[in-house]
Amino acid sequence: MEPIIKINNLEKVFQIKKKAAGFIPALKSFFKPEYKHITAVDDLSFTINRGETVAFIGPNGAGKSTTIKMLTGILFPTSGEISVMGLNPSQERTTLAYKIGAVFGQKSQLWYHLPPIDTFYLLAKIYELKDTVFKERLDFLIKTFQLEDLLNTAVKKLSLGQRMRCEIASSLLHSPEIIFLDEPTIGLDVIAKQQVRDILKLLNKQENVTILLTSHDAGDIEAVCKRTMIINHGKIIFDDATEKLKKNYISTKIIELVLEESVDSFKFDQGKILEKNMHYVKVEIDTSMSSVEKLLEYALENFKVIDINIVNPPLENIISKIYSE
Amino acid sequence: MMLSTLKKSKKYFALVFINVKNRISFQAEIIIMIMRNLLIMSIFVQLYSATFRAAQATQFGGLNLQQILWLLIIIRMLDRGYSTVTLVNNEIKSGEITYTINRPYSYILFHYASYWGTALPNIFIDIISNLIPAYFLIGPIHVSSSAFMIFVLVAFLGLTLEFLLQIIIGLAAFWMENTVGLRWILHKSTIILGGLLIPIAMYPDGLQRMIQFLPFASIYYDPALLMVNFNFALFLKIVCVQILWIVILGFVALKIFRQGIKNVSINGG
Repeated sequence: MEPIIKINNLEKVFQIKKKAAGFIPALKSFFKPEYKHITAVDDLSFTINRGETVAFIGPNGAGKSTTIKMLTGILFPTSGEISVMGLNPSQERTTLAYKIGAVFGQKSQLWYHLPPIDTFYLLAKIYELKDTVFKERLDFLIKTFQLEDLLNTAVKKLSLGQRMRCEIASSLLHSPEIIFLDEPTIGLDVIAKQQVRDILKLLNKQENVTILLTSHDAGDIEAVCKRTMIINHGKIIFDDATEKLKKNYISTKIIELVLEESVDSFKFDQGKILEKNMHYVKVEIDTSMSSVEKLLEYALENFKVIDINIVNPPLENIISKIYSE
Repeated sequence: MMLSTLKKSKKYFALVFINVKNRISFQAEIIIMIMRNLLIMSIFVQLYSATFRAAQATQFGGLNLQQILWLLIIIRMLDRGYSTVTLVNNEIKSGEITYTINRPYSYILFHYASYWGTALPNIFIDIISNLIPAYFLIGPIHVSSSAFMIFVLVAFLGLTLEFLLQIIIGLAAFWMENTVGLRWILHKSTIILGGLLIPIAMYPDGLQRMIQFLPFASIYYDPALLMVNFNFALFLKIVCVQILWIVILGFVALKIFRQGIKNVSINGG
């Protein structure tokens, strides 16, 4: 296995100016500012091999995005060592940029008033792609991401899911060896999420692209990543196979049902009923003992189901479960 | 080496091109721009005609009424506003810099290309919308082809200077909460010391001597002055001042960027 990312004792401390409340303290702070130090990443060490699909997850403020930004060279580490394909990202950002791709779900790299094809042509020039190479790559991406009908529509007129497909495609134009994705499915509907996940899996399989993904959605991790790292307060608290995480910590699913009839007679022995309210029922299923399918079978046989929602347990629950062990 | 430089320069031309395309997608704004130009021109004509009449003068600082009006119109054509300051400030504050910084190009040249991509269509629209009414309101002005070529060169250097001043202030957002205050100082300095409202030729001699060594007049006023009243010695002096300031400010911008990049702290992770 060839290591492609190596991090040793990485630390990032942000210095933030304290904002004093009230006029006099604010005036004092103007002349003598006080700072607080926030350790976003704390003594982090790990290695990722070529072709791995790794989920980097954690609650808000855990330090995952900061780590990704240090790996791509956007942020300078306070201390520690980073090597991405043998390069130091903050010192050799431009050289590294040819070899990596990045998608930040909450930011856009597409030109808002222009169609995506214009951004693709621009990126081809920026990454100095030969015309033939670019054309071939573009055809592949259009086919894989089903972009034919979107190419010539202004980005502002695309749906969030369509835009995200274009965002990911534009990050892959220069055939990066590693792709960093920071919340790529944020705000997407179920179908769009599934499309993004399928594309990422395909890229890893076909091109052996190394994927490092951060997400709040356990579904992304289960679907795309074979390895999961959980980060909390800047430290790694879990680093193992996603299968193991699923088996040990994501063993439950929560199913919400809205029925046409009253839920008074709703009884399901293989799950725990968390809430019952007129036409609404919320059930927790332990997937090692039962299945979502069995619950739905019961519900559809005995009731008229109006709406179904299946949710993974929140990440915070998984983290507290890890800590409790 | 040549091939590599050519390949690298292509990306900046592509950036100019996409910015032009983006700029011309705002048709309504362009119509408003044309109307604004006509309004400003008619104010200038009224104001300076009245000033010359009241002073019973035929010239100010060696320039007659027609030359002063053309000078101000040309300055208006070159004045590009403060797009780069706002853009860089917003990019740093919103975290959009995560994308713009993370590409295989020079961040400063990326913005320089974007600056020209936005400026070129605006200048073109300004020329079209100003030249025709100015021809009828002020009367034609004689400009030789060589004076025009020199004007293009000096205007190019002047706008490069403007871009450098703007990006330096925009990059201050790496340290400052907001760069609006600095932008205000630059704006007012350019108006007063750059001859945007009152031609520098009308200023007292002492002030004129001081202004000629500052960068502000080299942005719009000096190129416009060469166009209305060409003089080879003046051209050499203007170019020397412009190049000197471009070297100084280019160096400062690069230094600020290299230092500022270490200060990036992006919200939301």
